Amino acid sequence: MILSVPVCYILIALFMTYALILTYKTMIEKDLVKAVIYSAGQAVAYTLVFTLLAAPDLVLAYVAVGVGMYTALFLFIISRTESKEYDNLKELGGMNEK
Amino acid sequence: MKNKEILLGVLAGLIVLALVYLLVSLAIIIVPPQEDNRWLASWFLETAYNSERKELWSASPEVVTSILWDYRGLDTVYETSVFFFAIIGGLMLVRSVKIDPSKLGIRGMSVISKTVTKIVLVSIPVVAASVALHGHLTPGGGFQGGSIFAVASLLAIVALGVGFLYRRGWSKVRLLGFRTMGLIIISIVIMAVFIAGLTIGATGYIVQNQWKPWAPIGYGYLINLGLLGDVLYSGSLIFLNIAEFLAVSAGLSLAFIIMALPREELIKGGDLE
Repeated sequence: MILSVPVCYILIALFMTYALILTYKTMIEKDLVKAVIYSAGQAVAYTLVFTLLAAPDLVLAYVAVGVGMYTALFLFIISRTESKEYDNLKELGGMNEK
Repeated sequence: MKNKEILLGVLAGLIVLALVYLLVSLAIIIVPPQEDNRWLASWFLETAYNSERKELWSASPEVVTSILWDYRGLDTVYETSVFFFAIIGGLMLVRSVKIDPSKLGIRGMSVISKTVTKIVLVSIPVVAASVALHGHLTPGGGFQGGSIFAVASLLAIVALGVGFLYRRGWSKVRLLGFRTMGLIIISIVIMAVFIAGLTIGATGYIVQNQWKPWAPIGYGYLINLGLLGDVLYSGSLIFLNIAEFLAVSAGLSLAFIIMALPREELIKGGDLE
């Protein structure tokens, strides 16, 4: 890499932190479409980390699969079902009665 | 959201950042922008394109592709066949669905999205092809190029509708044909040296690329194209990359087309196409 080593470390730390936050947001998000978008953001952060770790082969596969296909696959699946996650069955039952 | 929550969030982020930086910079977790390589990496870097040790080289300056298709070529062949059977398994679910292209319609997004998509649809396959065809020279390869190509067909499905692809002849049978053609090319390329060895009575291996002192048959690595001079094609690597590109791009495009079919068509079923 052209970057000197400490700058590279700071950027890696920054993007990993960003990925961690987005992973947490993906886990707690109840709206599944939003969760998929957070997950794609996490994939972008990982892509940047792989770039900094000088692994361009991995980046090319990860961009296409992690950001493009994975996101699209989940959006297709969500479009065939409901886009909300329920904590328990009682809540779901209440929705159906209305 | 209250100011306090934002402050706490920023503070937590900063603490994590500081901890990660300390872990990485004090070499508790070792990350590879380091001064010297480990012995395995050094071995591959020294032998992959070392013309003075032709008994071990793979004639390709791109070490990752050398490892994928030469040093551990059989693993990659098995990965490709696993992927093929995954696509076949997905097709089994919709085997009796008859697709009527006239019913698919021109459902899609607005005019702006369609125009932009049509421009991008030209450039993505170009990038994909260059990544796949230069796979033995620069980072990339068949799988990477194929998955980039599949993103193009995905964009077309989302922005222009499945009917757009169907009217241009992207039918199930044809895509599956391309997929199978890729696999047949891979099989021929990996078996050719072995069969040639059997025929002339010399040693030859499956997935062999360059000649070895005890196995004299190889694919060569330079081709003379007249005005263009000598071009490096790295033996079997370029053929395997092209075949993998065909297989992956057709297979993933097929998977996306089937997923995007209207739900009513899938439930109704019908005759075998």
